[in-house]
Amino acid sequence: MKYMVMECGLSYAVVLDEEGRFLKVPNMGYEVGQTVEHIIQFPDIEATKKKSFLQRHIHRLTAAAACFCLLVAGSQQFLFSTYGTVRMQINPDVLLSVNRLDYVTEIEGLNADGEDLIDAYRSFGKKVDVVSDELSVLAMEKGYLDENGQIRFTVESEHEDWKRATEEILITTISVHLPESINVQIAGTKTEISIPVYDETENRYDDDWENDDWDDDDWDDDEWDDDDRYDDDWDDDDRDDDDRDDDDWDDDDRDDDDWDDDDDD
Amino acid sequence: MEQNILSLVTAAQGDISAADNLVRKYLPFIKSETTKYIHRPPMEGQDDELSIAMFAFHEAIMRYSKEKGAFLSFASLQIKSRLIDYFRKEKRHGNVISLYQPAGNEEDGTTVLEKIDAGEDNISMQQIRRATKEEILEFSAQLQTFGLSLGDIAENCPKQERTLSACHSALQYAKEHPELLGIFLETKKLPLKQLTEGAKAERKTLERHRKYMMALLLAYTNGYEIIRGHLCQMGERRGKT
Repeated sequence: MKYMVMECGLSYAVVLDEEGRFLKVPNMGYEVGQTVEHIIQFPDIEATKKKSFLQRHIHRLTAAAACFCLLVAGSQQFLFSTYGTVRMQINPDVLLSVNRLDYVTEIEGLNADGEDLIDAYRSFGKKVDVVSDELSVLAMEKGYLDENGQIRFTVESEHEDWKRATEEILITTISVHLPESINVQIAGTKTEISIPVYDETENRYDDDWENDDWDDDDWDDDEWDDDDRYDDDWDDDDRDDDDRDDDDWDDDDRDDDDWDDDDDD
Repeated sequence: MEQNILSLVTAAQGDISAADNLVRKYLPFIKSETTKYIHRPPMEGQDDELSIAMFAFHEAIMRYSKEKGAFLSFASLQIKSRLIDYFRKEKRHGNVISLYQPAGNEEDGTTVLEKIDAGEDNISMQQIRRATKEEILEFSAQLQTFGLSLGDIAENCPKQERTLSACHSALQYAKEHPELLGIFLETKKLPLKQLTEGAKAERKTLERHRKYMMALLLAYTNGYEIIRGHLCQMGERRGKT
């Protein structure tokens, strides 16, 4: 680039470059009319200062934003991509999409009752066992599931380990929480669980145990000392066998005293 | 004393010649500041660092405001900032020497440039330079009739490439329609409406860089062939945009 020196002062010079820019630069001994190839040019301090934080750090911010986007995209791939599905069939038919951390990412009603069941239900941030459990209870409340009803779960995934683990979780969770005799089937397995009936009218648990009179408050009035636990008149017992000795043994007719009178002939 | 400096600085801010006079007035101060960085008294006409420091003082005059504290303290910081920028640049170009530095034998004062040029025909070069200088002086005088100075135009010149291209497109349109240059010379005003419509340029852009546009249009009226010849890259760049 060549610069035509247009004006010279003690401390400055105005030069014109070949692309039409007029520049004020330090006068390094120039003369008007001279054409030079090297000038000293400084960045505009005021323009830099006037820039906002965003403008001054745009490159760093852009790089940081790009890294953040990659992180979000990566985590999105991790958190929101479907690792497997759980289909819950009662009469409502519902499909749960699950990520690799067992969180439900999406629920879909596969029939009209299924759509009704999940209407206004929020599954965000909940794991598959929780959602399955809550939907089962919801199905009961809405009348889709009653005593002697049946729930069928079908777990699908390319990842066999995850599939088995999810089936076990469902078995464990559903069998514990459903209060009535519900037939739970896990498709693809031989598992069929019948939950024993719990009569809700029966007081299975002593719910008011705290009010029980477990304290024997009148223990000191008990007639424990009158019990025939001990033989108190033991010393009066006829312990001795007084008839042990035949005291009149000597009177016993041991000898035949009149033997000589016996009729011998 | 501070009040005196403040009034002088304020007066010089709108006048590039007054600012230069103030640089001359405070040259001892500038030399003293330069000494801090080169560890010896600077020589006028020889040490580039002194030229840099003088330019920094000039910039300080133009940019100073009361919020920035005492003027001489502000000027001192400006000098330091520009000298550091200069040293960094020179460090990157460590192998480059000045053509104006002594060529070895300091007694005759011959510079490297003069030593290189020795044996060449300097007459044509001097004639060209003289002619260029005359044209530039004429150009500068013409600008003054429009109320403009070269310093004003340098301040008003677009910094961004996109804006520069927009202005050059408007200039190209004016070149293709010489009647607009006639209107410009006659009215001493920029034909904004015609340029905006014809060149499809943003009116705001051309208004913001009015002084620059006027200088360009003036350069493309008759009499400034050397300057136009120098602007050989302008057409090439426009082709790229």
